[in-house]
Amino acid sequence: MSDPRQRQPVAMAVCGAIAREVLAEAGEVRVIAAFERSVYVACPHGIVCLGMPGIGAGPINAELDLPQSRAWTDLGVMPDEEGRSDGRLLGVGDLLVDIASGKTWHPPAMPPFVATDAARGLHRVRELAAPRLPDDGLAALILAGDEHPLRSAVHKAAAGSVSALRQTLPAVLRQDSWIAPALRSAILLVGLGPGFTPAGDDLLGGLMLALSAADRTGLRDALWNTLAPELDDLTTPPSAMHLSAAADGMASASLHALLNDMLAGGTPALADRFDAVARIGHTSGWDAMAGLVLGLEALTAATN
Amino acid sequence: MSVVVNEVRRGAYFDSVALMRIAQSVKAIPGVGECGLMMGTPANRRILDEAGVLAAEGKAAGPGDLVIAIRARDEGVARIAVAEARKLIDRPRAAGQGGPVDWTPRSIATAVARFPAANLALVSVPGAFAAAEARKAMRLGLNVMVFSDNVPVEDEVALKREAREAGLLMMGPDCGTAIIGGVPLAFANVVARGDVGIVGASGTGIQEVSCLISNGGGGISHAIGTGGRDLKAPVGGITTLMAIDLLDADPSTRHVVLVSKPPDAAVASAVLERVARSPKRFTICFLGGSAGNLPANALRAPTLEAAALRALGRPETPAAFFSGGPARGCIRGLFAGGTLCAEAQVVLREAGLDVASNAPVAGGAPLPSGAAGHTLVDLGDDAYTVGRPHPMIEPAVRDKALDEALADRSCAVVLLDCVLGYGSHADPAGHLAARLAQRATQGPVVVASVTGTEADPQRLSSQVKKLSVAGVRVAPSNAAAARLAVAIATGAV
Repeated sequence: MSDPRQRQPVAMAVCGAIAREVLAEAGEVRVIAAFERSVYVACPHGIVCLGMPGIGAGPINAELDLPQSRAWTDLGVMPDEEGRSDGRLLGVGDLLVDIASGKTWHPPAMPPFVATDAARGLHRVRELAAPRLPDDGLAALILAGDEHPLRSAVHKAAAGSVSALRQTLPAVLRQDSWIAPALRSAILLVGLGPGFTPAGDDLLGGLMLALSAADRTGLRDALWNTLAPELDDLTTPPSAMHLSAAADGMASASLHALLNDMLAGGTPALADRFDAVARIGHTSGWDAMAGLVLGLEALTAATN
Repeated sequence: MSVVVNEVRRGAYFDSVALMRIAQSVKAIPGVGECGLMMGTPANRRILDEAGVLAAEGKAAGPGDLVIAIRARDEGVARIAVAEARKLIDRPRAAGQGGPVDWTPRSIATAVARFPAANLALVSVPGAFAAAEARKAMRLGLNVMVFSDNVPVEDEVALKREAREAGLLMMGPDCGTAIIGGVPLAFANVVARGDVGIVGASGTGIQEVSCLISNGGGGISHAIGTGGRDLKAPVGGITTLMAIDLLDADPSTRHVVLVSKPPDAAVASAVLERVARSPKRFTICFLGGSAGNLPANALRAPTLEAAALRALGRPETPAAFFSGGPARGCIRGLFAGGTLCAEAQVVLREAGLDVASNAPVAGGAPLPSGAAGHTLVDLGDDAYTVGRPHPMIEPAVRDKALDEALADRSCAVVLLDCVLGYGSHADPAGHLAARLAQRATQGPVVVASVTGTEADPQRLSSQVKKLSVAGVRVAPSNAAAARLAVAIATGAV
């Protein structure tokens, strides 16, 4: 195994708060997934996402200060590559990262939840979403009309749970406690979807962020406490890490920016913020946005 | 009637669009009814089950596993579909835009991703790291050659056991020479392809035998190095036994030559027992020791030269030992190859001479404090190479000892080896010739052999000519050079 002290370290431009904590623990690391602009690294106490410049800030993201044109293969970073962190430097493949460097990112403060403002923001998002809904993922189940055909096996598998959540969430919010059908529906969505971060998880993450925004952290924590013990069996480790961050009220910087704009009633910048979220992953951004909408609509309905 | 097949990849993460593209490509194969690639979460397994494509393997998958689920018209189509899915999943990612075009892999994993057809890794790193790198290679499904030395024997045993379990070949640690499929690895020569396989716990032993066979009109199927400790008790001959299995199964191998210093008795028994079960002919060359009772399909060769001749089916040159006449002086052998030094000791002892060495063969004498009598020195031994390059790489390492031998009035013959091939110095004969040009007119006779072939980078004939022009008496083999040295030293010629 390479000695991390033998290479020139790369600095981090920005490091998410959870990533910073995870990286601070020394030990063996392993690359579990490599995508074009990011790699996921399993560390002793969590998973972090190391990214090329421009991947965006997030709680488990660490954006590296690298030339844009580098590829991970150039750096010898491939799935299953093993490495080591000593708490100051992380070495994997030919990459050596100064994990003490860079600014620490925390999510921005959220404006207070005002039902009327949120309703206007929701309306704007639905307008923007309608002509562009992806066939994949779960966004169409929430952002399309009821007549939207179920195009995929994932849609069909999720339709019942999403519908149940939409119907029961207002009651959950009014009672300030989860009712069994709602919890059951949420659990059935965990791990649903083919890819690295299943669509169902992204939707639930968006929902938990919406609950955080409205200061309904009790409900958010109750949902998390139900899901957390099951996550090892229900979903992928990286997705569990994202859900854990959502349970702390943290998501990607893009999703926070969109949420804050919606809570403000929809500013002129909302379209750009919508686009930024829609670009996340294949449908991860859309699914998280759908979760936001699910939560904010329920909150609005409960308030009314 | 359709068939459902599942394949599960542990811990394989892809984004959903990549998975959908792969699924679409597989579904486009005629005869494939359905294909799904999903992480094995319970929710996704339900989807696959409802689609009628979940089999037992998929049902047992975990959330971190990728399930490849296919329903096909018949078994044949299913196999094709699975192979296509594997190919698409394992396809190495293209280098990113703007990346350096001359990028070369810097780790075993990236090398495997870039060159998926590779099936062997050569590890040459400091000994403390070699076992870890060898293990990484094995876990990627590669056979391994470990050139590194200073690897603890416990690590060697563990690696070889793991390799055996995985059905992979572990050559080394401290394996300096191999020729696999005609490809010379580390210190090795360019030899003709043919039907003789070699298994050797000795680098220069493999080199000498393979070159003599090639120069004699034969050829080598594979030469498998085992590392110097393989036939010792702790290792138990694991690689030697696997190598015999492989050469037995290789249709291009007709005859197998085993070359090493004498193994531990129990290991020798196990090896000979395995030889006995082979349908092929064996030549056993345990230099400096007796091979014990050989099975019917094996013959003993006392020297590397004899082993090569037996493999070629040629009669051995009778040992031309001459007695009578006053001895002219002693023989000073200065060797770069340890096994060549050992072979020369065998020849001298066979001739009835007492010989001392820093690396004595069984029953031989260590070097005395005063260099009296015949001495053969392995200058590649660890004691001479601490902080210095090996004499095969840097012939200047031999210069001081050569100068002393040439100036020694009691010395009648200076006996040298000159080893060519990949890894060796670009012009070892040229260096020797230049050094010898400075010697006094009166002095010992210099006898040498050149281990190599015409196809080696240094070219055998060119190296022989340089030595001959420098007044060296060049023999056609190391054993022949030792015999000539004996004849000169004993006054026979």
